[in-house]
Amino acid sequence: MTPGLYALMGAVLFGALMRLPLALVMFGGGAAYLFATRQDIGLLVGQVMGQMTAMYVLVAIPMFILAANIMNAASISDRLWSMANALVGRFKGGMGHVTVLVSMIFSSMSGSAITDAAGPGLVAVRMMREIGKYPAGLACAITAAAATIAPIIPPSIPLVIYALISGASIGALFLAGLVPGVLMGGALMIAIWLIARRRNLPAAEHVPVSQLPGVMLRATPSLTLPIVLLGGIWSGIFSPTESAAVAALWALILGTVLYRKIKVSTLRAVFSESSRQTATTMLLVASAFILNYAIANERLAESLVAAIASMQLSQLQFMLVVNLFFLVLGCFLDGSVMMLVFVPLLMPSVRALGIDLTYFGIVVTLNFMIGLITPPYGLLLFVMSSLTRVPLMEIIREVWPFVLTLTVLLLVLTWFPQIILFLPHAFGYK
Amino acid sequence: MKAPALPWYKRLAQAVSTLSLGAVFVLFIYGVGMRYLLNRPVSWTDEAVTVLTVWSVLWTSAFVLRWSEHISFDIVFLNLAPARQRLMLLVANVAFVVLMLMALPGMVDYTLFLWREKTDMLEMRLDFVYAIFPIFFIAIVLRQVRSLWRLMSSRWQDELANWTGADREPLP
Repeated sequence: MTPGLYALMGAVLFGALMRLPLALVMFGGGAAYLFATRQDIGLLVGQVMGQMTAMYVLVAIPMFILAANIMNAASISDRLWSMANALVGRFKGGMGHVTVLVSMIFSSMSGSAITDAAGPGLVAVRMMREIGKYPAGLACAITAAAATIAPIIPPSIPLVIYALISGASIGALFLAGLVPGVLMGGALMIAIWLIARRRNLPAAEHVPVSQLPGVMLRATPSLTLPIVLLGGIWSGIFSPTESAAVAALWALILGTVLYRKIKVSTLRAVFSESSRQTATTMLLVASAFILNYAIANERLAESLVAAIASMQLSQLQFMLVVNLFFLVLGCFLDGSVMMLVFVPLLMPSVRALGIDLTYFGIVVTLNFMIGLITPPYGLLLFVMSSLTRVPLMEIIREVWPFVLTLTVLLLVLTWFPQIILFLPHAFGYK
Repeated sequence: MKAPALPWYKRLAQAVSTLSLGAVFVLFIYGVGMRYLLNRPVSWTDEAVTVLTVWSVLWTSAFVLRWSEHISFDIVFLNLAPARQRLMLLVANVAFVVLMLMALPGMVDYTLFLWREKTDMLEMRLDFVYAIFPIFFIAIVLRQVRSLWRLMSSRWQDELANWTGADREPLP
């Protein structure tokens, strides 16, 4: 440990524990580091602004946020809900399954778990409690767990940030997330089915098959959004950033012309809210640049490569250690912080061990999503609690089966990289 | 949901933030349209949207976001009694303000020194482009000083609400 690192870590730990905003804490840590190592403090400006203004890919983030918020304002959640209800509501624990299916569909339009929880998630909690007579804590726990699918099924804000850090292809990452995302949905549905059987939770209202086409038709226009968004990226017509903007435009056209749900006043609220969400997410990204400068300057990642090499870990052993490390850390830290600070530190080791970058990206992102629902610090639990006013403890009590389910899935995916990689490979990403 | 009317400068800050995202969106669509519909690619929009996004993020963070909206690690903080929370915020904010007051002159110098450099496409002066970063910090420090002032006044509990999130109106 050098004096610079002591200054950096001291400032970051102190600021974070004292509840200063994390972005400010990281800027402050960077400043303390530059002072302690007697470097030009202007580097703080140069590093952060230089990298931010050179990152065209980052502009995908506000556009994804905008697209999802426009879809929420156009109240597509209700339409998706009716469709999903007609499809899977009939099974034991019906409402829970509907919640998961709606989340999966919405995931193909949204890249953030929080947007998913605040949009379709709120509808889900209301329905489960009013119609399904679910205990409030369980309804919130199911919704929080289902929301973790959003950044795994493309598009995905964490995967865009990961692509930026690792240099992996966004197209490949987005393809790679598809199968794990669907498996997450399946695994959660199995867990819900088991819980429903033990507690005797009812199936939802049975929708006659004759009504199915009508319900499907009502939801169909919104299902064109993922086609525009993902089709544009995978066919190579648009860059990911462009396709995000086109998707936002498409959502706007659907919301104003077809669904007629969006007025000028709603639009202003949507842009204003999206702008705030963009700022909170991207300020953290900006502050990570100065921290990563310090980490690079101290050659920390290189020391880690040497340490790991001396342990002679196999790829799988390395991945298991990484998973364990992040699962424990995820109980206390925010996923974005782990992605921005710890993943860059690990990247040289990942490359040295010859681990596929796409595979690594999906595994760590899934790991961070589990972190969003593991107590004591689980952002999705807090969001659900503050949106629904259900006490945090009630949600925490019910969330464990889902944490366990997703952790088992994480291990399976870590063990069998082919589940993640066969789709991008089939499309020619190597 | 009717929030009480905000003072004019807050509404102005909010309007700029909203409009900036709108401008990013419109510029983007213009760029994509020129490239794919008219087959006359304009490369300056890529740079324009990137710079505009960075400005929008720093502007919004400096002038629009409430303290409780920033992502922070608050599990320790939220479990403390109000008097302890107040003490914690006093110490933390004083420390940050002092650190930033030490850093700001160097940051401003660095930014001003960039006046001869320009961006690649639009040839905007780099000192103008980067200026939002020191502005962001000056705004944050001023807000922290105001926050400290209020925390030391008799109405410190009102200010505490800005940090615990008790000030936020519930979502519909």
